[in-house]
Amino acid sequence: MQIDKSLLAGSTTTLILKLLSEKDRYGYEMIETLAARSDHTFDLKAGTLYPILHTLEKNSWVESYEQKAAGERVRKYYHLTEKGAKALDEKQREWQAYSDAVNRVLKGGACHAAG
Amino acid sequence: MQPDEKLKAYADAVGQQVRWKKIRPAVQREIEAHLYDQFSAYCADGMAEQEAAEKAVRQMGDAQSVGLQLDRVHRPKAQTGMLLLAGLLMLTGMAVSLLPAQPSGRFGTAASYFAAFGLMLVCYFADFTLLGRFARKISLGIAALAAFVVLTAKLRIMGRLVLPLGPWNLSLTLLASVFPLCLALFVYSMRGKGYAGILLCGGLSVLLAGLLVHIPSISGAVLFAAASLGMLCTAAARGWFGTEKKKSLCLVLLPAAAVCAAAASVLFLRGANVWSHLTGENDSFFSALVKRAVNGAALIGEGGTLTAQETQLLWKNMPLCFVMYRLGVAAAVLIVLLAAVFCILGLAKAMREKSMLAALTALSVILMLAMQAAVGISESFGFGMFTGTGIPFIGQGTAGLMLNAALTGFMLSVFRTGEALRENERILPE
Repeated sequence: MQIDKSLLAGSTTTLILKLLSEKDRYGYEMIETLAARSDHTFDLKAGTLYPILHTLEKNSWVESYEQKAAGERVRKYYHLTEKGAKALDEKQREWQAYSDAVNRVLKGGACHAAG
Repeated sequence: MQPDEKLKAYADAVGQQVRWKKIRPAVQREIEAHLYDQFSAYCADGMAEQEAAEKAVRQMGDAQSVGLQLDRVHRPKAQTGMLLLAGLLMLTGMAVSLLPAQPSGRFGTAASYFAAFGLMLVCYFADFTLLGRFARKISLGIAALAAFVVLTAKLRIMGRLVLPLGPWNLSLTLLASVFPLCLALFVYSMRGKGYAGILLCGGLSVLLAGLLVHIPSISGAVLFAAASLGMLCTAAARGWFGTEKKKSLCLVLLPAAAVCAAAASVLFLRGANVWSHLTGENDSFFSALVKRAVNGAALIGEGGTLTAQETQLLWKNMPLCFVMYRLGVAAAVLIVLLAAVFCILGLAKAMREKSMLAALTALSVILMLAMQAAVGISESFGFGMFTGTGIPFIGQGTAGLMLNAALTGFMLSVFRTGEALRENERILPE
């Protein structure tokens, strides 16, 4: 199913932070993992990913380091910082509250009534 | 166009949109690495190389738009606040210098402060990455030159070695302000060199401290030793020597404990001055003068217990106490607050720097300035265990003023462009 891009835009940062909370990753790996886990619902463009990663690094939510890949090439890995981990917790809570509220409205208040 | 040329051309097109040129190589490297990963994956799926390259580039999106977004993220951080604070400290220093009723060389004093501010701005915009490129050569060059000058100098004024330069005599005590930067560069050049690197850094700091003792500048040696300890601990704790962090810290701290014990004995002996100042026993002339000035100072405005000659003496030797007496307690408190805010902000920014060269350069400057300020302020109120450091930009003499202005400019340049250094640290040739 085609997803409205504006829906993805608000949650991209959270998804990236979540991927980095599991292990250090490089850009290409993040895009591939995101696409595989979401059945290609989240096919993030590389041109969208890097400005977000660089902004996260500027805010000290992630750190980066370079490691040699095959041949002469060097890959830049990103690592979630403590500050980033806290931000992820906050964003997950925000998302939970938001999706619960949307669900309650969509279900005509059923969830609320059941609760 | 060959597939790899196509990928490189795309990465270059992204980089061209980033106006901060020092950031470009890192951005281009990362984009190119991503394109190669994508290209390799398509080739592994059986796609022809030409088609794989085209698809990889398409997958990235419009190069101009990606570059513009990255350009918005990467901008030099203007240090307007810190420049203003440094400028205010200089303005205060100039006002203090011009305050006495009959100052000699009023124009010269004002001109030297304006020149110092200009020098700070020049260093602020200077490309200090040159220091990183030739770190070892510069640090060893400074150390060798300083050793030659100190060991061959013969002329002494007030018991301290000076270097005659035409009509001027340059006090060699000023080396205490240069040595922390010299050591910082050497520590940087020893990155990843293991325990041998730590030992060599320790050796250089002992040598430089020894030169300061020879001048003699005991205050300079103690302040330099403390700044060295701060830098070496930071480098060891962050694993910059490529060694185990705890062992490296022990290697730095154990000999440092011996040095601290020696420094403590000096402090104990000199502490007698402070004790006599507090108790009033065997008050020295200056101690008594400071007490009379403080007791006679008003909250705002001029105090009224000292003679003109005594006020002049206070101005020459204890500038902050002079401000308190001449302008009031509030003015002196404002100056202390200004210096404290400058030093605390500077230290916080230096500790936040991620690049080794940026952090070490900034720390070497701000640690020295902060300690000068602490010692200078305590000295101004009769609690000085050391003499001759002065408060940064206030009552330090022209050479000291220029040196501190240049070093501050370098430090602010580090804060402005440190991010680019972090990005390119791995490609700085040594």
